[in-house]
Amino acid sequence: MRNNKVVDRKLLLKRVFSRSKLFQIGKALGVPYFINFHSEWDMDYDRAAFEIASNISDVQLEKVFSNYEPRRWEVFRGQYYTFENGKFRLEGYWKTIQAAIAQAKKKFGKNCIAVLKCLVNSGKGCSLKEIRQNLPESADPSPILSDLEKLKVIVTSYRSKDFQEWTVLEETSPIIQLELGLAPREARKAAFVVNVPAKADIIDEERQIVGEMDRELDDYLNDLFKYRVDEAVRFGKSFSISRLAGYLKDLFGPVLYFDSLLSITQQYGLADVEIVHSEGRTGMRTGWNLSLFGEPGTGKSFSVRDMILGKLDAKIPPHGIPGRNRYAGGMTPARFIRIGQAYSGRVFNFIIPEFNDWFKYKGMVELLKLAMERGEIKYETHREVIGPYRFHSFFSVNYNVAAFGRGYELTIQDPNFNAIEDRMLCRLHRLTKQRFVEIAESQMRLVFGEIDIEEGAQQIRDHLSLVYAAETKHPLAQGKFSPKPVMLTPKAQEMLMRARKAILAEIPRKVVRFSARLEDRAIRFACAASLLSYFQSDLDFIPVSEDALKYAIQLYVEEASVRSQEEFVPESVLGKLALG
Amino acid sequence: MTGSNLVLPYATGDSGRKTCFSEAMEVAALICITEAERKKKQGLLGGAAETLTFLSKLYYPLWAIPWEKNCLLIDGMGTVSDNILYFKPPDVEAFIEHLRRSATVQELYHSTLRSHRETFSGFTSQTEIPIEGFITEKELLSDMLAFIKNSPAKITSSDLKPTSSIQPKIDKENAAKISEKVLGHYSKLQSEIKGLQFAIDTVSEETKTHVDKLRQELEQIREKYEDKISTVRTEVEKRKEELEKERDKKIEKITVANEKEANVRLTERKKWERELLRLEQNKSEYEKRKEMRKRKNDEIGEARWDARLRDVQNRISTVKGKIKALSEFINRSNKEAEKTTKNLHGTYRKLIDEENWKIIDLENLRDSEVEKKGKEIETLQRETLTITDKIERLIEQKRERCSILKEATIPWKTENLTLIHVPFYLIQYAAEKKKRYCLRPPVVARGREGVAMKIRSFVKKANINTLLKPRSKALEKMLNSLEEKLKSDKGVKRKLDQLGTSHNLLTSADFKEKVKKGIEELEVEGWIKPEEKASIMNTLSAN
Repeated sequence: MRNNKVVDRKLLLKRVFSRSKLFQIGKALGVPYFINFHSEWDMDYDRAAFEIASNISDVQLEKVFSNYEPRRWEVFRGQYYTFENGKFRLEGYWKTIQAAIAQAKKKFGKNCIAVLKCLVNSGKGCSLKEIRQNLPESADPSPILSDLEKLKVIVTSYRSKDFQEWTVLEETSPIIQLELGLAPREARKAAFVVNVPAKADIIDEERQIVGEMDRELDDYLNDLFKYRVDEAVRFGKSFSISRLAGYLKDLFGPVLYFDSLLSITQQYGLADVEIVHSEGRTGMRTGWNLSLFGEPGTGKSFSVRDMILGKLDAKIPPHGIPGRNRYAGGMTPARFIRIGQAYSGRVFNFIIPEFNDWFKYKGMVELLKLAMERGEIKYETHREVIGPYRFHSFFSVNYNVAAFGRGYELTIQDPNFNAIEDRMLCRLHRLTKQRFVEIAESQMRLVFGEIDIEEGAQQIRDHLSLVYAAETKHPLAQGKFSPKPVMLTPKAQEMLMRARKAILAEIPRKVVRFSARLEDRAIRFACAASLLSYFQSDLDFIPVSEDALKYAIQLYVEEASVRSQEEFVPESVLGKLALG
Repeated sequence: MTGSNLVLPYATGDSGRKTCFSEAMEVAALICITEAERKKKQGLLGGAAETLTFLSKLYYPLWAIPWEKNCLLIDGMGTVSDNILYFKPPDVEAFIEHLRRSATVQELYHSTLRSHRETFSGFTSQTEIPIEGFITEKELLSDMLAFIKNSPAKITSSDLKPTSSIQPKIDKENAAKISEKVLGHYSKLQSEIKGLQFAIDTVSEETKTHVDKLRQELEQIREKYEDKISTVRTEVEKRKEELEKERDKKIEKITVANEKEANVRLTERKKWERELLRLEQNKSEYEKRKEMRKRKNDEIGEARWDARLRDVQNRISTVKGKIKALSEFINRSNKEAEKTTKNLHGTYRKLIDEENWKIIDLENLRDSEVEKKGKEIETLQRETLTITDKIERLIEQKRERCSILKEATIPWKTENLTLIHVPFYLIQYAAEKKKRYCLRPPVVARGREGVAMKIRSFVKKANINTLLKPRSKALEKMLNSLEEKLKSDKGVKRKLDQLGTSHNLLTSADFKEKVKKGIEELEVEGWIKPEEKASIMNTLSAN
């Protein structure tokens, strides 16, 4: 439904707003697509309409109509919106069309259906002669056309003194097809075709975006190495996961802080540093996918998007690595699979709000599983073949689930979803009283300027970028800072084993509802969190820090509890492990 | 944007030089020139003898800002400036919207095109955008490129700049802003070209659609008339057949009636012809008998036969008259029948023609409508072509403006914003309270085998000036404007005085040693005579 609405909005915007108006709207709304364009002539009109449509709400749409002059002579009769006589209404027109078709069918019978079928199948303007060819010889289409036009089912697409053509509006075509029995009811979605740019254009455009992101990182690092590198190293000498947690707790409180802790730690992990043990390689790396799920309004988007990319109008500076986070709001999975080719061999982080929407698309689940496993992706349709290419990037996503009772009920009906969930570090959000209070208080403190995170954010971002540059052998860091692997210590192994035993002891049944991948992610989290201690020793490796392990075990136990439908209370296990 | 430095050499050897032109030679040559130009005696008009206060090698700042594979040059001192000429294009958006609005109604679309016939005749306005420090002079750009390419200097990091560099008036941030202004202007031009191109595409596409519709309409007209003509032709053929039948029937009727009447008359005439023949035979008989009676002098018999002859003669005349009348009647009747037939043919010809005209009229009507539509298509295409041609011209002009901006770059690639240090010597002479300045721009040192050396040997006049040739007139011109500023701008004078004094070669520790070494090298190359050498060495040791 959401997708239909986006399509409806896109068609509406394209119909009633000129190119320059769309450009102004996109810029004013801060839609990312418009950032790199100097003028309306640089952008793709169709894409611009789609990008705005994907990024605005109905309330914003209403404002757009009051702030920007639409083409008053145009008409739009969509499923969700109507524009007639220069007036915009937040209501669909399809019911009126259904009634009008019924009325016309009653009056003209089969001939009316034949006329509409001819117009719908043609997909363009049809003249009287063309329509007549689809009718019995004796039938005159003129009165039918006249009535259908009066009933606003069809419109005149071309007219001269002695010639006329009629057509059905693009947005009304699906409902007319439905009424004529040309499309099954389930195919309503498919009736919408979003005109996305050609495959090659999409990849080229994305490569440009990748290039710009690379430049953003280079510029930031240049600045950092020139002016703040000593300060960042000094800060790094005493920085750790516990200090980061302390900073976030001060800002957001003892419950809310954890999500931001996860998202910032994941940013450290993006350097995808090798994890080793004393005997050699483990085959593991520090990168992992993060998923925050829970009820709307629990601060998921804030932690995943705003803390990483920043939200300057809300006074939240970015904490993430500059130029390494690709925001994919409003993107469809099909588009993601296409643009993924531009990221092959590169490690970026895709920030995806409302990830659950992606699983509503048929045939996408397997591909997304592959993407999350960083596997080889190949997708074939009757029109194109995408790939094969290997996807190396990671995800930070959030999705909505209802979580009032025990455990969580996914709104996603896809049977493969659990398997995908297994490939991410998940965190359940519940709108508990405490969380609600912390969110409300944080909001108020931000509004009243009581929270000033600018300095802290800059220090963390500098440190994060410096560690990233060192670990990824960025040319600016070479010769100054060396890449260091993260080393798993025997103590880490022992702590994980203890946690596993304690959890299993708490589960009464013989069956375990979570996979061993939970442990794998706990290790990756601990190693990514240890990267915060890069500057704390002169060793040529980074040992897994004790406080990083503490947070990793906490995460492991809490997630195991959620996956086990809360068969045990995490606090009791943590208590036994002396971590509670 | 990060910064780098490029320090250019003051003197480079020309192609004739086989040995390197050393720093010592450079200093020694400058000392020779400086000394030669120094006013040594009190002038007739009272000017006092001058002393050389300082001789300093300073650097003039020029910013090189990367732009794709080239770079822009910005005069760091802002002495050079340029204006970018900007032509505001017509409102493309309004044009496109107007087209879109009228697109569904053919007549409206035509009138829209007509109303925009002059929209793209020219740009709406022209403005000059001043860009401080922006170097566009082709000679200066090409000389600077040659200078950079021919120099062995390498780009270094931002910390490694000469201490005697003049602090640029346009700092790095402002240079970057200026370049952004130029690049922004270039992007704007490119966008406007795209906009104008979009206008061409839109109007061409829209017109193509309208032409297609008009062609459909034209086809429809043809088909409509073909149908009509076909129907009328059937009716006409049928009617023509009916008329011909009717005509033939009438003719036949007349012919038959005429023939019937003629036959009666002919029969009658034949009867009378037979009677005439009999009467002619009687007459001949009577004449014979009369003659016989006459020969017999039978007057009575002769008179009797004469009377009979007269009687038969009368009867012959009567029969002949009847035969003639009958012949005339038959002729007249035949002629009348012929005439009537002819008339009928004429009448029916007209009626048939009238029927044929029904088709011809329709064909004419069709042809005129087809021609009218054809003309509409032509007009539409002509109007569109007029507009697109005009837009093309505007695009061409915009492209020219882009080329002008592109030409204001040098094909030298630098990764970062680079401060080019152009060396020059600043010389200060003092006489009583007066100070005189002299600027020596970068030079090319001639070789020993060069023409200048030969001339020098020929005239036997020592002039070290022939050794050093200013490398670029444009560069000299730019430095001259600094010299002008030195005279007019107290701030510049104070800064250059300070810089000149602090980097005075005359007070440097190794100055004498360097000059001595340089003088010897110059002597070896034959640029100065032994007595000149001795004089300079004396002056040096005296100071």
